Amino acid sequence: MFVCMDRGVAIPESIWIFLGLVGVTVAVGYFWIGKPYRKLIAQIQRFSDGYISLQDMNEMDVALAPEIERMIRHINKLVTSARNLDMSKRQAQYRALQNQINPHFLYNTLEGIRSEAIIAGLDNLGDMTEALAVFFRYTISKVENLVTVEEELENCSIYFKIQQYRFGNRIRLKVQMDPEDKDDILHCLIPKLTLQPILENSIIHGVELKVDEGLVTIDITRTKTRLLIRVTDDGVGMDRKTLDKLNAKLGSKEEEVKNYTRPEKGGVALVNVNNRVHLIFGEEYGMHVYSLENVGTSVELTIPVVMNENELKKKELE
Amino acid sequence: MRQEILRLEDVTYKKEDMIIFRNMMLNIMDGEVMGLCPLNTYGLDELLEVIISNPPLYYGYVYYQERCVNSWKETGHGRNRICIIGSETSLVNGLSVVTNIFTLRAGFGKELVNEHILARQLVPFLEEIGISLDPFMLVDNLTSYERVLVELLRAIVAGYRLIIFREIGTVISEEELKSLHQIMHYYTGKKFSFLYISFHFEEIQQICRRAALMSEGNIDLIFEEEQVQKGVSNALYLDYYNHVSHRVHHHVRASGEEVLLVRDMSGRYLDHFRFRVYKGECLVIQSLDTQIYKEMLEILNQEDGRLHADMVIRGKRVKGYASRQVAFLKEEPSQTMLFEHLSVRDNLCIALDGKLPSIWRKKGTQKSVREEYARIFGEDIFDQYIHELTLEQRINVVYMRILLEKPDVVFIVQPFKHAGTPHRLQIWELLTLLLERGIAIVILAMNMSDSLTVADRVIRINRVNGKMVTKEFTQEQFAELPLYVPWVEFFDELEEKETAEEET
Repeated sequence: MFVCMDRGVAIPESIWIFLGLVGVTVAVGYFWIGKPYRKLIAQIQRFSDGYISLQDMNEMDVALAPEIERMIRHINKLVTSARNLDMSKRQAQYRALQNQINPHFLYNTLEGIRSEAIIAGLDNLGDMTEALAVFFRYTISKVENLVTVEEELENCSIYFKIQQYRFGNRIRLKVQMDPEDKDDILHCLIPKLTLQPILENSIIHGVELKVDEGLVTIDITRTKTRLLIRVTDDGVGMDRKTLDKLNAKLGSKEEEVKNYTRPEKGGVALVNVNNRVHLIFGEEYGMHVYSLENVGTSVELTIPVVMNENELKKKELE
Repeated sequence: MRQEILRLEDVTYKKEDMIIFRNMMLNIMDGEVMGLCPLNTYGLDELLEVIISNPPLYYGYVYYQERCVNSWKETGHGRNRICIIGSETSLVNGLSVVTNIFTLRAGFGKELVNEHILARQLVPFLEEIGISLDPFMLVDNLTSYERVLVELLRAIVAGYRLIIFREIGTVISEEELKSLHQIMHYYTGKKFSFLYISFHFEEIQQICRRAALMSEGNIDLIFEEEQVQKGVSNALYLDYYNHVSHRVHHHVRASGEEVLLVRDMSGRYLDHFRFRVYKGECLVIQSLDTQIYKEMLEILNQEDGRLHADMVIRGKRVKGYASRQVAFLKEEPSQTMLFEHLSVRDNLCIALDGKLPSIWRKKGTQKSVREEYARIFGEDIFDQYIHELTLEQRINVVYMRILLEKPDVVFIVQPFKHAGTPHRLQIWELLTLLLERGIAIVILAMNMSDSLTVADRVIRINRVNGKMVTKEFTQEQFAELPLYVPWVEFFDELEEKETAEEET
């Protein structure tokens, strides 16, 4: 069979079949090899630049060969086991510390101090001791992973009360949220000790260094899918270099590994909170810091709306 | 429950292997007017590109209406339903208002268009914002303000939830800006959101509840409502503020001889407008009405060289710019008034050939020009082509041309338009240099921007009940200008200080 062309020259059908086969081969090569290869290269690039973690690499659906996939899984296992070892070491240290403290002994002592203070007519000291006892009770005793926003805010206000004994009226705290969503927001679940370290950071590195009165605002907004928590202070702020370094740390997934093996100084509290959020909710959520020298700092934390722990487990399964 | 209209989550954007911004976070809620105040223009175009066009990201996620539309894993398809309204029109000339609003939008599927039905559909949109507009008018004949409104209506009708206003204060007058703000408030009530970009925080303060401050491609800080209202301008432009305030304190310009008198400037809106300028003086004419502004520019920028106003320079009537005693710098002259494919030297020779026709042949004169200006602007730029220059160098060349021409008066249209803080400081220095050389400056503006810091007098011109009204302010009266005009607070403080000094 021949296919006729305009000028009467015939092209054998076999050539058409050959061209068709070449086309199919090119398409298959592009979609099965070229595209996944480019995707893999992009991922390796992001991994080397610290944008994604090894775990994210492991979860990717691209692998050129089963050997590469196995290698990534193996590296991940090695890192995870080192991390787990480190975590269990830390947990053991924490437990030892907790046992040394003996919560009941601590609370009883603080209660004793409080009673003595009240008897002596030192109401302020009594209140302060009570606040400290409640703060420790929340920090040390409760071992749950997720708590409600209401509990976290309560802990923040107690922490702030303790700080106010030191700073007096020089610092103010304002908590604001949309009145319509208030009930919903207060019942949302967030990792325990998320807000207090941020608040502490705002006070210690922001308003404490300021000569005038300082204001810290906690603003919580709820959308359909996210909880946006913004802790803003009008303190001394930070220079561009420090800010860039801090945000790079918060954005980098290398920190998750680095922090377990060799903890660094500076911005550790924020980085730790951020890492916990990443580990619990995934890399799409986390923290970002904005700051301008002599104007103030704002820490923005984004987490998904979770109303009960089952929801989170369900999301994890999905 | 509020909806998040836009969210940039940890976005790192690379262009030509260069990181433009890293770990960018920005969110805009529904029914919100979010301000964006860039201190310089670096990264601004790219940020808008990421918001609108979904280019491939190096890292991060972009959400529009809480749906992931672009991420580093998978590049988004197409553009987001977001529009930009700025100084350039996006309407199609030669077509009517109603056609532009209804038929030129995605999703309009009708093949037979009845403009009268569409005009009827437009009426409620116009009524709810209280404006009247002829639906059949060609968009070519619209004023700048009407053009902005038509673009806004087109976005609203098309259901765009986020509308970006880019430096709109340089396009429409103060009065119109106020009306536009009211209209924006109306639409925020209907859950439309706006991103309002302006280089002046004072302008952002008038309309925004939250504002982001951007520099070098990063969002430095998000200002909450209280901080926005408190105003942080001095802290933002600290270097600029310190520099300018120091110079303004020491700035004493003796009012010399009168170099220019313009009288009987009349047209459809201008009615025998007159003003005079003295040697080395800077006069700012701020129009609060776009029609008057447009007409004034048309009269003063007569390309055929014939002025429709009575212009007297040093006692002699002139009929145009042929005498080269008057120079005219258009908006953004570094983009519009240089010959791109000629070298800097040739551009300078063109400026001089009116006075020295033999300049092209006389290498000695060219050399002495080069030596004189190399001291101010640097040696390296003279042999480069204009298209090879940075923006800073281009601005230098524009003003170098004026210095070479040595006119008695130079008209400059909105000199600070589209300029970030470093370039504003540069332009400020160049304007001061012209004044020091005895050249009088007339700044024509709708938006005052930083003009107040260089001005000796301000004439505000407006239309009230169809009649032209003017009011003049000397430097001592600058504190009487409305508070939202940039730098007024500075003159307020200056006045207070002087009063305190006098009292002591």
